[in-house]
Amino acid sequence: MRQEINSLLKSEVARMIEMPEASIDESVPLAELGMDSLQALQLLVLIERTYKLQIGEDELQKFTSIAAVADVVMSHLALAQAS
Amino acid sequence: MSAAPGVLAEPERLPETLSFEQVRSILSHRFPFLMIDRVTGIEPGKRLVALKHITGNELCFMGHFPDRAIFPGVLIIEAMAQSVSLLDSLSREPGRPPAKYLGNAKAQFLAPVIPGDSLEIEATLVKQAQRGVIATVHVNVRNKPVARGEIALGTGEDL
Repeated sequence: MRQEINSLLKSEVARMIEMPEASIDESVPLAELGMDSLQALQLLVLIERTYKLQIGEDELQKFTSIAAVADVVMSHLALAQAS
Repeated sequence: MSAAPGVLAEPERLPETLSFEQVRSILSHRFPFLMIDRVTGIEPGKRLVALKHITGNELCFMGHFPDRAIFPGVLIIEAMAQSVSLLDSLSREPGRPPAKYLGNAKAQFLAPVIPGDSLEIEATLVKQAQRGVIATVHVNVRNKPVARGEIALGTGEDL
């Protein structure tokens, strides 16, 4: 699952910043990749739609890298499964 | 019977409205770039319905096109974005800067818009955050869809 999330996020970030997926390091800060807060919000909406989750705006501050976003998604999926 | 997507059935008409002057007091756009004439329905935090009347005197028809007046798709996107900005402003805590800078627009154009048409623009909030807003937008003329899309606006705090 983690791999699928990483792959989705990487492909969307690559599309947003117009860079080849292969050149994107999942641990590099999104800001360093050239992403702004509105693009982070778009990423959040994509995640909500794809995984049928509700993620609060507060979580955006954890969107520091692709790996960090994947952590947020994994924790929300775990919470959703538990409930 | 439920209405087609983007078409508000009569019972769902929203009670709140805004006049042109009220719209102008919220949006910072001015002639020739103020694309909303009136708001016919508001549900803060959820959706807004706005009207844009197209006349043969629109400045854009001088060039688009000299031999056949068709309202440009880019200006429909602008009208969609201004509707989203109004929805954002009316859904935001007072004192917070409104989202008015276009960050992303996905749009499909389904039919030509010509002088005499009135755009009924329905913006539905997808996500609102401190620094931006995302909304889906359906645009109809006489209850027929002419455009639809998704708009992302920023507050400009990143700029």
